[in-house]
Amino acid sequence: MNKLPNTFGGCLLGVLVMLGGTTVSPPVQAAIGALDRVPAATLLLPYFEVDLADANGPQTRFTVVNASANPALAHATLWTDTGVPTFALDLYVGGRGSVEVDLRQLFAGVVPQTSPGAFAAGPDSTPHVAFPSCPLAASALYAGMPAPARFSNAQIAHLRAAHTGLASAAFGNMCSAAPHGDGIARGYVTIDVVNSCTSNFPSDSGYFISGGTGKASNRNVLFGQYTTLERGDRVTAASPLVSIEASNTDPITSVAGSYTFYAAFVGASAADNREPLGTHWQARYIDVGFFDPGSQFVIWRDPGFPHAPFVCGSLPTDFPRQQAEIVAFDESENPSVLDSGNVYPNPQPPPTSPAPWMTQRVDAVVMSPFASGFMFFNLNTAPPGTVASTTGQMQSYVGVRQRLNGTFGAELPATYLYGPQDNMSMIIGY
Amino acid sequence: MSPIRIFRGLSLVMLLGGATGTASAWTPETSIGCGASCPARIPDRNGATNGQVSINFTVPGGLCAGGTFAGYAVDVDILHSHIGDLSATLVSPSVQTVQLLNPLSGGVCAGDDINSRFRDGTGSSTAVCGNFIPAVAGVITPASSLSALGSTVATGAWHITVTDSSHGGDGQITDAALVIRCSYSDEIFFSGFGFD
Repeated sequence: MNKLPNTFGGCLLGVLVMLGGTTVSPPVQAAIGALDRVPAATLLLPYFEVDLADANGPQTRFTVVNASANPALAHATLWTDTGVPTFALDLYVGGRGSVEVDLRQLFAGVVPQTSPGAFAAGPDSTPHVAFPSCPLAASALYAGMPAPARFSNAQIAHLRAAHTGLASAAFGNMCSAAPHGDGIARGYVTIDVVNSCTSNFPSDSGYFISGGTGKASNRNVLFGQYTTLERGDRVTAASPLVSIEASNTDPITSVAGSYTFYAAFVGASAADNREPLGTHWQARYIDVGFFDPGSQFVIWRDPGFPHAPFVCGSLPTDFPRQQAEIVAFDESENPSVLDSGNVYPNPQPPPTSPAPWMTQRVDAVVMSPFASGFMFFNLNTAPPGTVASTTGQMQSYVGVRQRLNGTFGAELPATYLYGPQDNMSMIIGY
Repeated sequence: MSPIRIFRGLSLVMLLGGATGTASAWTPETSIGCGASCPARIPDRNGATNGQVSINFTVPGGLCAGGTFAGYAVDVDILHSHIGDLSATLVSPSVQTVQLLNPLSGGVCAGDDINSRFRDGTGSSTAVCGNFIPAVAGVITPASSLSALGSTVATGAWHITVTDSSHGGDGQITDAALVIRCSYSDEIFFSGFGFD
């Protein structure tokens, strides 16, 4: 468990005093399809980096917090930047509790250990419980959770290879990530509220049953944050984990054929009941003055269909991922269109793919000739074989990092414009 | 690894470095690793109970034969996301205990990792909480002097115990070694290689 309750205790008390002694309020009313930052049944860490060679290079941590007074079981799944799941672990989060996961440590074989027995439930929490299918661990300290104390050397080698584009024996000497060749493990993480301990991935059959009665639960109770640390550049950036709410009554997430968050893995049956992310985004970028090295965009894209390890030296056919349109605007409303789908200029320029993988960070300068302005993203264009959407809709997530090395960094979610339920593909900039 | 091999190795380095043969002492080292007890997970504090793990070293007899014992040192390589949680002790076969490390910065050091040698004497400095990884590096002065462990090599089972006294933070002892430093006169050195 992390130190949030201790370190923020004083601040929380101060806020309550200012509010005239009111007690903690229930979560605000959530809205399905709005991508509001509220407690959710699934969290997305859209992009992580773990520099395996340089501890002071880019590293990533995340914290999962339980907004409910009742204990929750969180199931974290690591995916590569080509959408292949590699590892899953269960995290016990007591009522009003939190858990921190340091991915640098995970890639070194240190598995986070949590359990009902770690410490007594807090005064605002219901008693700890033991979730089903969580076998007792060898260590009495951590009884109740299945995670081993640390990975075996073979497991560490697999995790490192799988996320750096190298062949992994556990994948039949196949590859499962983009071959960046820089020793940095990349990928993204999904964190689902589950009903019982499981080694399943969200892509496994039976993981989702509508109503939250499969492995996955529909309890909207988790929120969190992730932090990227680049000690060598003396800069960090933190951002909320993306909240993805579940509902088995809202039409957006309960009607078969709906493009839900996990639609690719449930045959678009809406069995996951998770709201989709957006398709259109916009965000400000600044590459001028003391903003050095300038803005970067974190871009996550829906796999669209289950992906498996592939022969090293090749790539699945849906890579590099294209987009409908990316437009950079300067401060004087002048657009620069990058790879529009079907309009001016004619002839079309060669396709460009600034965001070719399931997840990546991209320098703004790659997509814009201007020093500052805002960027518009229409990341539709479903790849062949997509299960989730037959209409060209393709969900995504965009965040923007503003940074000045040695001084500050921040990552903010881009502004959400449209989602798949809007069935929109907007072309602008002409 | 036998001490005589280390002695010869270091002696060769000194010879190539321009040793003159004037009266001086050579202080080669024998590193005794933690074997199968490493790497070892450091449990987090559990309720009111501190997390604790011990790793073991077996010191054989015969070390410093022909010379004199010159002191202990401890090399540790700890992966941890909040090293202010940690303290460490070195315990001899006679259960003499020396505090190597107290919780840094009063326990609030949020730095990552320790990769240091703990040793008395010149060239060592007080541990400070750094911003980079490892947050503690280099030669560190133990919280209490290693000289309390005696003036001769204690053979048998030693161990280092690392304690996590605060909730949060994860980690492991990746590697560690107990270092025995012996002192030999240059006469022994030259005799050992047949120079006279």
